[in-house]
Amino acid sequence: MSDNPLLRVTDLVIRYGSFTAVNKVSFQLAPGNVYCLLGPNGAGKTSTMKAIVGLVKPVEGSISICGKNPSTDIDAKNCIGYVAEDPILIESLTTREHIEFAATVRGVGKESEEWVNYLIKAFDFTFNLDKPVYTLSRGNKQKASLILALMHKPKILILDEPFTGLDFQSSSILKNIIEDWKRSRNGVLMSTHILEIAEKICTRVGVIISGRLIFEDGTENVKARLLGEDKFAKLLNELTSNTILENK
Amino acid sequence: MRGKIVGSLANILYRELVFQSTTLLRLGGFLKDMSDTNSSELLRKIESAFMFNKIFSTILFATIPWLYLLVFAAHTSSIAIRAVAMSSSIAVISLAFLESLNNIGVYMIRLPEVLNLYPLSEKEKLFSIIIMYSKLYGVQVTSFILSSTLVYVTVTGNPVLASINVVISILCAVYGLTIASIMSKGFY
Repeated sequence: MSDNPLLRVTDLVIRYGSFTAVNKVSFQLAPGNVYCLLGPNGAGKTSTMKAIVGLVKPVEGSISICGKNPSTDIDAKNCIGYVAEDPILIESLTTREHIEFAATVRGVGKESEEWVNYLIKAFDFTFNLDKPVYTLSRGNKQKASLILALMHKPKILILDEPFTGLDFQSSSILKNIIEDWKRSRNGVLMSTHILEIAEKICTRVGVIISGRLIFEDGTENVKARLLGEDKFAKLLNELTSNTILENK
Repeated sequence: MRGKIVGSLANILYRELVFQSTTLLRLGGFLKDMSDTNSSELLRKIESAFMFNKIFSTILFATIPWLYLLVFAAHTSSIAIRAVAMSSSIAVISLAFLESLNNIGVYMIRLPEVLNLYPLSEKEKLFSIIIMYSKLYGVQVTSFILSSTLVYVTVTGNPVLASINVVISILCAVYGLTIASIMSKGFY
């Protein structure tokens, strides 16, 4: 990793009351990389992402986004596009109103109109654009979230289970967009339960179990180490059983 | 601070709060089953219903001091003071109750998440929330302050006491809102 990282997380600790959800997690996202956070439910993946976006306040540790400190520099928020596991949208607004508001706040000008129109068409969303969000299905809310996260062409995409609820065509479009982000020397931090997708798109994996990042390596190294099919599934099984044995 | 953004965010938050506090508790899950025309019609109806509630509560807030004055019909300054003091306490309680309800709405719209997603400064967030609350309660509180001041002027004919009443009424409103905020923080 010779390049300056787009995202640097150092010794991150997140607590909810007395429960430690994330414990001393550190990693970096370099340009041109897709970093996948893997782990069982409740492992701390979503909490880590929420802390990066600023939705959860860590008790310890530091986060640097595009070289900026997100707690003091609001410009850092323009460097990220976030898709939450449960889409964060304003129910009474239409997606068009969301887009207009996001464009004003983020200072996105007319030059991005073509790109936004491309996203709307690619996700087959034209028909839903003027419907209030509360009338949309889970999958369409996910598409609205994706359009909003991508519209300002952020350097870092943070995607928490982005394929949940998406139809086959939209999943394929999203995979292509992630590949484009990688090629353009931007970065993607992603969590997913679909290990086949992770195996295909990730360049680096980090495994979080019980709030601790217990494994981190390049995808190619993981593939070289494990034999046969479903390498990521094997890796996860191996690490989870080791952690359970350690805890016993 | 970007004034246009603050104004537009305050409008969005106000609209969503009105929508959530009117629909989520009452209508529950069947909202999604509506057709596009019906759902747009529902949004319009909700806004009209909320406007009606606002007018109704404005009249109610303005009437409180006069109702008290009618009860204590004698025209002496001490009774006027009592009337305004008692009506202030009712207004504060009503305001606290209204705000508790709206605070439930604030959490329902996931306000902190929405605000934290965008590059907004602390000042912009704070001002948009203040404007949103002003849109919710501004007219009612102003009507109460003007009405109770009018009671003072009518009964005592003393403009100094009337100005003091304005200040006290504003402090009462701020106090009521603060208590309600602390209460709702405890709930969530």
